[in-house]
Amino acid sequence: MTKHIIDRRQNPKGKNLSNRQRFIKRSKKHLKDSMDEAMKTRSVRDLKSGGRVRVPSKSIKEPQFNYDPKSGQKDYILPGNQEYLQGDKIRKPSSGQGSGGGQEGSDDAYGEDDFVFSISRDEFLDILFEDLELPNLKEKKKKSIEEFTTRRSGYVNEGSPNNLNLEQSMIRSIGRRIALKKPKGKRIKELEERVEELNEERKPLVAIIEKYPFNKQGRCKEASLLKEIDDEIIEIEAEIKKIRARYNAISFIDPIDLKFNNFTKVPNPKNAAVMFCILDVSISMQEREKDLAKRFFILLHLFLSMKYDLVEVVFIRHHTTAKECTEEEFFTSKESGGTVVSTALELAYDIIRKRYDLEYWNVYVSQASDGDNFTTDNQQVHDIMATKLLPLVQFFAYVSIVAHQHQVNNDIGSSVGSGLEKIYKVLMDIFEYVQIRRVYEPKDIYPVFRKFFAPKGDGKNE
Amino acid sequence: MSKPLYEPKSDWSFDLISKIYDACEEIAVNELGCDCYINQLEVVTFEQMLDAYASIGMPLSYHHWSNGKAWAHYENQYRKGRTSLAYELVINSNPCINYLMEENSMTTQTLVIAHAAFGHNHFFKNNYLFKTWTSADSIIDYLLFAKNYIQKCEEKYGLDEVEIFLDSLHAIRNYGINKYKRPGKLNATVEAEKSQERATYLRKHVNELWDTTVVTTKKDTEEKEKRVSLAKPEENIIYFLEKHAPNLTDWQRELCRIVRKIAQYFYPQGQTKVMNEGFACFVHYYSMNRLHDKELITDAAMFEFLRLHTNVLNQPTFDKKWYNGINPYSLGFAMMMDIKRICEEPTAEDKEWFPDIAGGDWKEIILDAVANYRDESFILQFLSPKVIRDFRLFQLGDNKSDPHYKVKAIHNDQGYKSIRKEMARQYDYNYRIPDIQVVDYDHDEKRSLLLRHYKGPNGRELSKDTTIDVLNYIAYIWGYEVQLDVYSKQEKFINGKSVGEPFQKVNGYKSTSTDGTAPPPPEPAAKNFGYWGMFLTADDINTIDKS
Repeated sequence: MTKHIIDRRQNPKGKNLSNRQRFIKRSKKHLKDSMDEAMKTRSVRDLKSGGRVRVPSKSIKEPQFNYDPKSGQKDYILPGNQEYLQGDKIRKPSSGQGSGGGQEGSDDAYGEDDFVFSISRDEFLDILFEDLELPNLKEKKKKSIEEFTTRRSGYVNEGSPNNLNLEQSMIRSIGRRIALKKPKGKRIKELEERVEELNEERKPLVAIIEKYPFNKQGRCKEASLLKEIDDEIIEIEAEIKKIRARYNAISFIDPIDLKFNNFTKVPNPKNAAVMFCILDVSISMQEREKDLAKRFFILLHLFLSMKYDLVEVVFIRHHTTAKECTEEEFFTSKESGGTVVSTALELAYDIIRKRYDLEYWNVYVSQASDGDNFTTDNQQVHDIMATKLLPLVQFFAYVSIVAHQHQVNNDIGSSVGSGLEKIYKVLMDIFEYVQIRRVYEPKDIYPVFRKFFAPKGDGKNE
Repeated sequence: MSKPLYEPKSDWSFDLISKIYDACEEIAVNELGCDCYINQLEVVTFEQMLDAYASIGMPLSYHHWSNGKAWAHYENQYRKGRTSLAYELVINSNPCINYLMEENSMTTQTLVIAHAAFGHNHFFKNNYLFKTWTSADSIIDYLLFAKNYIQKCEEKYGLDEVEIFLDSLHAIRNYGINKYKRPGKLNATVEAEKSQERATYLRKHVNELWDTTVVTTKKDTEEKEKRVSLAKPEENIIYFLEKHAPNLTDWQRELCRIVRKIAQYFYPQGQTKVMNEGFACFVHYYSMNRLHDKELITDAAMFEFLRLHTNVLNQPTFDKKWYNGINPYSLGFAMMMDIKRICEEPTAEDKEWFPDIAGGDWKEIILDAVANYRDESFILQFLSPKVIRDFRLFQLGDNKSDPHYKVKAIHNDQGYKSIRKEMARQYDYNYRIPDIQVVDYDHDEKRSLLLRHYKGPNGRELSKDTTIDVLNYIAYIWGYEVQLDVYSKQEKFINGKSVGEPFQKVNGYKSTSTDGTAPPPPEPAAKNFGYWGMFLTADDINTIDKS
């Protein structure tokens, strides 16, 4: 009996990819619920990686006709009897499970357990930001940054050995050999075999001639045969020599056959977005407020990164004066004093003007604040927003951090002594891409974020 | 004597595998008399093993989300370290495909080769169920045909359409089987041609359900003829739907065929788990011992093997937390070994219980058992008092109304037969899968389909929630309402003679969907797997062979 041993390890893995996609699609609704749940508790930083998600196992069950395990009269055969005798009675466990022996009680308890599995970062983000869209998107020119990708571009005659293209080289080698009529090695072999054959034929003739040197007649016949054979051998050997010379002269592979894969660098045009994060760092903003703001900014950054090839982030913090800063400073440093919002807006405007050509860049501005502002500054804020900043941007999101839970659901602009909200409320009516949401605790962030980017008419300002 | 083929710590290599294979072949074929398909040993990574697991243990399978779910499940389990993967996976095909995982040690590979490449392989080729129901020569081709066909359907009619239809079919895949009528041999090319033919034929002929010229004054005889023409009652529900569901399109009918053909292929595996594993374990145990006798493997390898062997064959007792039913490996192996013992050193008890095999030729008897039995009949025939004693088996009665379990039999002279009989019954296919058949359909405008479930003598009921879910799926295929009546045996005796219909309707279910619209994804229901009632989990329903 024969056998075959095959090494399949090099075969492509991931045969199940499309099954997996189907499965994720199937459980998407539940995955989303599960993620919303996760968003409430998880630190936003974690979101950059995938993770384990759970969906209720019943949502993806495959029903079959089967017996209700609690019904009917059944007999079990169990191994490991220690003490029971025929006729013994054993009280059923009071859990109401109604099933005896072993672990099945516990099994059923966990049986309802959720189905837990891991998803990758991309799958995670896909679901996280599914059906969100960028508001007020404008077609901008693609920005050509000093970044290149390598692309294959045909073959060249010179290159490094690791780029050698075997197929192309061999095609040329074959072509050249045919064109130059390189003799086949097989032909030489054939001729050599023929010589050997003739030599074999020659042997008996020689023997006869040596044995009967005086038998004139016979010798005459054999001698002529021998001569014929010798002539042929000489002829063939001459041919072999000729062919061999040609064979050796034309190499199997020649430097002129060699072809190398060629790569060229092509500039990689990208659609680009800049995101401004404006944070109030005055005394009124405590750790809680900053943490909320940060969560929102990170989500926004993730989202924009999904949609754009290139996303730049500008951090601006402000109290009575505004300053551009690094991310580190942005979230950690403490400031004190009052709040003059207009300075930050002014700074943002300047930076856009100076650094970001609107022909290429989409501009997103998000501001997080508890709403405090010097009352004298309010008019200023309104003017800068209305005349300078807003006409330049695609989107302006204001995250209003409120002090009490019940305020989250109140109407925007009402009650809370937040001066900013009132101003922005006015602007909201003019510029439809201005949006305001309130948050109180981390679990508000994700729903608020979804509302910001929900497709039009879907979740805009209740 | 001879030098060991490999040192204890050495990694496997292709050369070694080849040598070990030859050594195993020598033992299995020449000493044990195994008769196998040609083997194809494939070395795979653990990811590929997972892939194969998820596609119902086959090297290829059509795309469906349930496979993705299975994959996610196994992967999760594996990464957590909850389960180690199977050392082997073997496919009933010709040539017989064996997967060897690259992580396995050389000893494990040896074990796997003896176990799968010879044990299972012989079983596949010789057991009457496999011979009757599966065509090892063409299964791979057929799966390829199925995969391509379904892929084309998805391109043509959309993923969702195909998915919901497959879901519906999967819900009744246990009812896509002919239990009595033997199927023809599978052949992928012929199938493809046939599929074309069927499509044209169906187009030419109007389905009788659409016959609107039905005259109400139809005579009973005509009615009867019609029933005959629909071939009711029908145990193969998928087959019935494929032939008679009025609204199905060609491709949907073809999908019906594919699902039931594959279900039919797996039908024997569920019925021979104990024997199949038992025989494979017997072969690997015998082979490893012989290799050791011949000094082809070292003592260290032998110890490693024994550790693996005892792990696989561990049978926890019922009071352990991790007790999960009778381990088929353990039971099967114990029974095979016991047959050998009965033949070689029969006791007085054996002579009384097994007069025809005691003192016989054990090779002949085991090979005969492998060829001609399935789990139920094998246990009924060969479960010996000694095995019952060794396992300390006992029989526990569970009556719903009684707050106590009753110990009905233990491992003593009064108990052996009862235990053996009950054990065999639990491996009976018909005991595990509820008996449900198509009996009729309404001829009025509702056109509802009538199914009937015969309640067994032990009074087990269908679990309610899943039943409705499944009915909804059937309604989706049938196109109209589906009704399931539960019948129970209620014989009336007059003067000791049974009178009237022995079965009476006691209960009924109806699909909630009545117009054949796609059912919503099934809603919550208690998770249970109606296999052996309580001892098995969903994984066991997967009738793939994994150790």
